[in-house]
Amino acid sequence: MMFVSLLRFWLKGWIYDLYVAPKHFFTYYGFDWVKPFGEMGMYFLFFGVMLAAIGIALGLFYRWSATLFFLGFTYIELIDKSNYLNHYYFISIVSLLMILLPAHRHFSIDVWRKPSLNRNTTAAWTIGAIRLQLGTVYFFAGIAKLNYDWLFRAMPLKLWLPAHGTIPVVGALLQKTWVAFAFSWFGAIYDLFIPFFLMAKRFRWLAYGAVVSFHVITGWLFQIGMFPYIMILATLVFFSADFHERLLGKLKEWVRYPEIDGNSLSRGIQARWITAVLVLHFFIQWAFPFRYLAYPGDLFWHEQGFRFGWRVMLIEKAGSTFFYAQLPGSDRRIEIRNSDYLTPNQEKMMSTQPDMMLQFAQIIKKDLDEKGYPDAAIFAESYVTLNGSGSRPFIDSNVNLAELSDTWTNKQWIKPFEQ
Amino acid sequence: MNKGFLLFLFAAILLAGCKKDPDPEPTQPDSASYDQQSLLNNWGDEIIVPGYFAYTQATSDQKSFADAFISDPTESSLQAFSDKWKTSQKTWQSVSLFEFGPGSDHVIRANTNIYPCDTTQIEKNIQNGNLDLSGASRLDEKGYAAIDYLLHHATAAEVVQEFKADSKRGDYLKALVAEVDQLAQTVYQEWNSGSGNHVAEFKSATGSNVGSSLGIMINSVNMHLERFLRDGKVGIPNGERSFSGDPLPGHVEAAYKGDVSKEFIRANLKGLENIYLGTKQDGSNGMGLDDALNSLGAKHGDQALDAAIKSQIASCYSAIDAVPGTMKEAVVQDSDKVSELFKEFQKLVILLKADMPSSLGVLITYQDNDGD
Repeated sequence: MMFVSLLRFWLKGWIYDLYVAPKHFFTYYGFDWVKPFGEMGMYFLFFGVMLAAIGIALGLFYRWSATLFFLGFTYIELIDKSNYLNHYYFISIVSLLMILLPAHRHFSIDVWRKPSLNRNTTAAWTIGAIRLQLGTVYFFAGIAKLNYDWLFRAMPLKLWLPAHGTIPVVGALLQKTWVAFAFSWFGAIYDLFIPFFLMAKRFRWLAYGAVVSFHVITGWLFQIGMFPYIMILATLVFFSADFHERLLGKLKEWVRYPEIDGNSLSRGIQARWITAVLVLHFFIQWAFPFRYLAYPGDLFWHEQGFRFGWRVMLIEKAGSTFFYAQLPGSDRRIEIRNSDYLTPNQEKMMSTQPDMMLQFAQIIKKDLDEKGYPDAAIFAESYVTLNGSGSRPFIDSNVNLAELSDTWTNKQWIKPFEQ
Repeated sequence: MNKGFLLFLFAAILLAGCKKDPDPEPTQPDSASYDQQSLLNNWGDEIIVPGYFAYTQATSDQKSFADAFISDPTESSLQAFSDKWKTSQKTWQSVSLFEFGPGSDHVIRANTNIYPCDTTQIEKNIQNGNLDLSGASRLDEKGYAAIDYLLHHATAAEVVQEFKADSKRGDYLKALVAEVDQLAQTVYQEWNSGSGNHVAEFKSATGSNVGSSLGIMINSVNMHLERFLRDGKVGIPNGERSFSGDPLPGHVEAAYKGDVSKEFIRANLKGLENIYLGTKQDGSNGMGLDDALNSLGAKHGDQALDAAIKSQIASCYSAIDAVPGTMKEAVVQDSDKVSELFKEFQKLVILLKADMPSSLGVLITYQDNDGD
């Protein structure tokens, strides 16, 4: 599955567009050392991660593959914030869990190489961990939807759905205000409760039907790439063991996989260590999305604490931001052309996200230093519209952004979102 | 994790999420829609294709009057040709933002209207008889700016004399007007339903994702407004982009003729306005973005977004009129007036780049990617 994803990425030329073409990259806080490897390097990295994906699927050198996949994929993601997507983050997290799981202990090339590894049963925690992670994604996405705009103004769906008004048959429906409300409420309820329904044996098929239709509809309406298909496959983990056994049985016949007996058990000490890691992992997973509570003001407006919180398809935000440079001792501000530095995609992302504005200010300053204009002050004028609010000033245009550095503290220079 | 705690968490979040005082919502229409197909039909059939057709007529006029001037250089044939050059470049202003489909395949904007031109290199080309002007490094040796230079860099009498003295000058000019015309004809043929029929493809690409005609048009409008109208025609000559702030009068459009730059800026804004309002080639009103925004009930603060955009376009026209004299003089003597114009365009950029796409559900993206 991941292999297909990466291959699609490659074929669409996105490796070049996203990791080779841009002149500057927006790294993550604390990960400034992550840099792209140049053109050939990036292709090699992708190739390696693709091999690792195949390794995981076939169960070949499983732990090595999983580790390589996690490191490689995450590294790619860390290169540039502009490309942040919730489902990439999801893949990173799951691959981290996969390193810990003994998923190669049954029906895999590794077992075929070393029959002593075979195991027919697996401890409950292994499946549990993946289920819990999936449940977390849904549940938190659901929580994120519980806000005034989503529930009582049907925003942003009210903006997004009519754009599909040209689709035959249902197009006219999508333009109705009540449909946007229905979608909003259904989405919120679905996200909140689907994990529990999937857990319950009685509702499982019903719930899975909901999963498939939900993701097919959203995938069809919005430009979200592979995400729906990843989720549709991933939720299969909620099904019972014999369901999977039957599936695997068919596969086994097909590849003429030899019968292997033996049922080795895991060693206690390793298990205890893994448990500790898992507990810590989920603690972080559940606490981190709530960090926004520490920031005053409207989360969707300032986006402090927005990323890594499973806030999926939640807001419609657009902005135009103009940067100005001023040399010391002069009162003249000249405008910087964003396109000289950024790809259009980067510019679009930067225009609504304050932390990226700070980084961009640093990029401009450094460039001016090199061109022989040292110590320039960098100002930005930014206008942002959120969920159809109409554009309004986003930040204080008299603050020298070049003097600031990105921190976890509240950014005072963001103007409040006045209703 | 027990269920009780979960429920508590759920309730707490629900409460936290709803603490916000509901602001009075304006009465909502029960459905928000506009007929996108009519919009695309109007753009394609009534604006783009007839617009290019009018442009081809202007370029072929320019070509035939150039031929007349070259075969018999006199002050009156020069004047007649100069008028056609002006008409042609002015007509160009109404189609220059369509840098997509055939227009972008043939890179018509860069091949037709890069300014200022490289006069040293142009004179070299004339002397060497170098008439092959293909290639990226030659963009500033041809097109309207180069024609402007050959026609208007000296008095009419001197220019006539130059052409009489050296036939190679005429050959070069011939090559310039021929290429401008060739590009116009090619792009028009590829759009036209009779031949290339790109217009059918344009009308059928409905929706709002990457690759949809609506998305492409809005991106083109924005890019053109920002880079070519605001910066190219106003900001750069006014020194908005240089630390010294020194004006660059030689960087205005049609710098050698000198007195038509403002008229071209107006015409270019008019071309953008035609797309926004859906104004057809014959001047009558058709379906435009204004109708789309109004039927979606798009707002900007307390007023309709459409009203805000229309009033901003009006402010841009007023600011053009407020610039005294020619652009060439104004950037030197009345730089603050030109700055005002620059700022008015800036305000229009904000409305068209942030508010409009957001209200239409268009992903402003210049690059295919997965959203989330």
